[in-house]
Amino acid sequence: MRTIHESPIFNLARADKHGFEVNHPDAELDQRPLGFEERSDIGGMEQTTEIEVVRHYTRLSTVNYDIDRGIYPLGSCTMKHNPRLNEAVAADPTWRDPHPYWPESSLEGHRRVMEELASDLGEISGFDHVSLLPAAGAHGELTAVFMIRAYHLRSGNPDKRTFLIPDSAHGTNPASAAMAGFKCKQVKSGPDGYLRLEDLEPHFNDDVAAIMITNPNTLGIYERQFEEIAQALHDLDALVYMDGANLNAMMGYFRPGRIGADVMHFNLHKTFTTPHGGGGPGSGPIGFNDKLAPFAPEAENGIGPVKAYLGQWGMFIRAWTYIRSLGGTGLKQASEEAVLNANYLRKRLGDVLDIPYDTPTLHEVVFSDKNLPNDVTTADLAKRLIDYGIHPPTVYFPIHVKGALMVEPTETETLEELDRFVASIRSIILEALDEPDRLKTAPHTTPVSRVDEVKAARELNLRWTPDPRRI
Amino acid sequence: MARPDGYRYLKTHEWARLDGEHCWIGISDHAVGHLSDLVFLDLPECGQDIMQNEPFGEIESVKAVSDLYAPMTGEVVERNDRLIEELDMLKRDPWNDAWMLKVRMEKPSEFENLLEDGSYQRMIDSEDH
Amino acid sequence: MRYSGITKRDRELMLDEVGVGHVDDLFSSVPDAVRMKEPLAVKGPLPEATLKAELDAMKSGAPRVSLVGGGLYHHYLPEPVSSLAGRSEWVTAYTPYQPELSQGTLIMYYEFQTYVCMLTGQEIANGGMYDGSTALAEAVMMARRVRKDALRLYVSEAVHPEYRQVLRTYLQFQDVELLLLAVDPETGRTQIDLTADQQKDALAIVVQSPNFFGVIEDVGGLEDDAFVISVCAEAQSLALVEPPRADIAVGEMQSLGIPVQLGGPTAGFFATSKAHVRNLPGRLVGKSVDAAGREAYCITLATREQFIRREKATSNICTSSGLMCLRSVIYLSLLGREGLQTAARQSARAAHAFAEGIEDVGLKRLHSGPFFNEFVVDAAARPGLFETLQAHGFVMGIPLAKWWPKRKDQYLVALTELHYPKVLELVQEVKARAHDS
Repeated sequence: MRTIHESPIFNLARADKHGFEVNHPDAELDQRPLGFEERSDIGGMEQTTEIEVVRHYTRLSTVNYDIDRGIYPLGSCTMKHNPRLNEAVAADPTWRDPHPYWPESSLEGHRRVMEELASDLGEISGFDHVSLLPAAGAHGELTAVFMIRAYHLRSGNPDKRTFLIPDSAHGTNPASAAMAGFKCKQVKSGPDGYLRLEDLEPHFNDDVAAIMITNPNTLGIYERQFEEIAQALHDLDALVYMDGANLNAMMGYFRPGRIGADVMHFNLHKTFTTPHGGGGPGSGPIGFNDKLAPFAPEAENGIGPVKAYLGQWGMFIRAWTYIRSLGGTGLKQASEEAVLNANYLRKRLGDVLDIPYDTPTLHEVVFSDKNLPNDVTTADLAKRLIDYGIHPPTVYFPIHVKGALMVEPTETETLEELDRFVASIRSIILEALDEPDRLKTAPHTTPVSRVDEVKAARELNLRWTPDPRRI
Repeated sequence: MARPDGYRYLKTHEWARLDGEHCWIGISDHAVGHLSDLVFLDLPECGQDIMQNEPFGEIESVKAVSDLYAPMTGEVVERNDRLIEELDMLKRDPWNDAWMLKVRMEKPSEFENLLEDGSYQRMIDSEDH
Repeated sequence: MRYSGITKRDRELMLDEVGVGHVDDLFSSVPDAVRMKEPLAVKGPLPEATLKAELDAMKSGAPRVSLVGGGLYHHYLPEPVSSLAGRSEWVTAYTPYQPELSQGTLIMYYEFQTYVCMLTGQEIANGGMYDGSTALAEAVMMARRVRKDALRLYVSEAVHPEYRQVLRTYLQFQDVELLLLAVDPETGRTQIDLTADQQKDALAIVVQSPNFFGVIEDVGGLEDDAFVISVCAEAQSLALVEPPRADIAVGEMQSLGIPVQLGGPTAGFFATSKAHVRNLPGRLVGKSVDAAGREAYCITLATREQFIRREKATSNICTSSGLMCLRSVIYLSLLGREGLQTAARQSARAAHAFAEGIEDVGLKRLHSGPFFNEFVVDAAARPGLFETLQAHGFVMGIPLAKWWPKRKDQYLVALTELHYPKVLELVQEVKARAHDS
């Protein structure tokens, strides 16, 4: 079936069409003046009919790739199955509609779900305290960074202004640190892909406020010197932030709070199956130890709230449902199989794709484009994968690996789907030998081909306008 | 391709060329070769001071941002607004039309700190290997 | 494990392929001393039916009538919104980094940006923030980049108190002096008695309209060179109330198709003028063409974002609020100007009728300034009435003493188009209880 080309809905909107009506008018009420001048126009907004709206958003949805269509092996993003049960529970009006300013008696059930979720996250991570408030992973990082700053200020160390951040870190790490006024010092990973104490030591001085470590790191490698590094930082009265993006690799195996991390964030939209929604909403609770507890958003003299209201409730109930569906044994099995699946892909593809580090990996594996023939790049391979009906892995990240291709299959994929991924990659590499142009011009089967991103950035067009005048 | 005479370089690939009490500033062919899909150039306004080895602006491609470092210290007296509009000029000729700033030098002797063509080329060669 | 993709047999086969005897061997890089010896003490697993029954048992009762707003409003949620936004192609997609596979999401963001511009009267808008409170904090951070040397921030006391707290959190380590602008007790409007120089030198002046007390602000008297950040916590008001002149307009989209869900997730909006585009936080989608020259969309100006610019990024924001943006876009498309303005008028009329009706029993509106769908009631003449109503499942607003201990007997009351058909009955009920007590 041919894809129908869809453009923004405004092209269908007209003044003589009618919009959705909530209530019939009440002539008596409508006589009352409102006491302010009414706006007549809303920037040119007009109406579309219900069938147009339904068709437009249905058609648009069909030109998206989504987990329900197939494997979505984005490294570091943990795109696993989003259970329907979670969605159904979250959509139940009894859970969905309450207002945070209602009397407490109407919120008891919600409070209990939140308490249980916080307690479960604490158990999984080994932290005694959990704040559910932050809105997403990066927001959790920011909350933690604020707490770290408050800790040093109250300890009389205002000059502790430097964050050590490995070159393999997510961009959010330095960005969050900078938002609280910290300077970032990038530290090189060691030759085996993990961070070495000896590479950190030259940076040690009185200015060091904290380190931000992702463990397992973005190569999927367990940071084997984590405890020594944490100890060394603590000796400097600096703190250890653990980026919890890769929590899916460790549930039931090790707990950051027990190996030297002072604070970490959780991405409920990764490990705990709340959906990614095309870019959110997420939810980024944080776990922390006694040292940082006085500075929590909820603490009496803490940093204060980072968001209005109580946090991402809609995500809490989904995560709670997921955790209860699996229990402690199921969560451990999830991590186990996430690691097994990733290692299976590593083994099955290791002969055709370059693996920059020999070091064992956990839940994800990073390949490079080093062995690709005929100047074929990671981007070409990724785009061609689309023609095989598979969403490409994360590309060009981590940044210290040239032409990185970062694959995280997660535990919810079947062996058949993993094998389809392997077969697709192998087939593309054969194509790269024989007809590299097929890759360089890929994808060929999507509603649009490669998008001109230079034009998009040079000739900014960021909103629809009735005339072709650019805004 | 040989580079024109009279230009000296920073390790970060910016060039300077003397012109009386002024100097012209731009980026080298080598830098341009490594930048693709340019979308934006941020240059300081006239009247602003720039300092040798300190960032004075940024050049952006779709997926990367690079700082531009000042090869000389001084006050910006002219900037190339045409280049800002038409970044492809850099590809055509980074030495003349695609200059970025004209600067009234504060310390002309700084020119001696810059790399001459030969040492600049040796630096590039060692980087590439 | 319920959501496991592989079977026991698969597992054997895969372990064999990988070349290890036991799955624990794959964790050999994790030192033994670090490994958990005990099982995770987490309740479960529960099968679906049991889990649902357990959740049902945990439910609490909702009030029969709620006139509670304060930045989150119960509006009618049309069926097509949840139905369309619930499609798994939207729900289970990732951030649209691969444009060929995400034109749907990209066009949705482009529409969201457009709708925000229409509503706020601004030139450009981003693809959404977490919520209104963080959007405000980000707006002030952006003002810091645009107005580098200005340090004094004036914030109206009638900006949502939780938004102000969030702002304080974000700014506590910055060299910014946060000064409150008082509210005129008579009109309920912010008193902006700043000299021309104070306005010019300010980092920004932050005003919410309608403000937290429901009063529509008037910033017409501000100097042209003042940097104004406007906040809107009831986006439905933008259908009827002309947005205030602002250099950055931020707010909360919840009223437009997003359930209250205890305050999260919602979506924030962030709009400004073209001149500031490179200082904008968050994601931007732009229109372009594909290799064949067809109309196509992609994320653009990503060099502002954390994954490229890292510590120099305009914000750390990554995952934002896509699905909630989608809900608001579907909602707005469904209602259009006509439906939106009708719903907004009904909200306002319900609120005005209620305010007028309860005056009969001595419940007076505290302020004289114009209001949209929310207002403050002075209930000093009827002590105990609020509690009596609440005991009967009628929550007549939010006690303002929650944030202002001195504002005893003051309640913030909000009505929407949901109350419009039965507003006179609500008035009757209040009167009846007033006479009983």
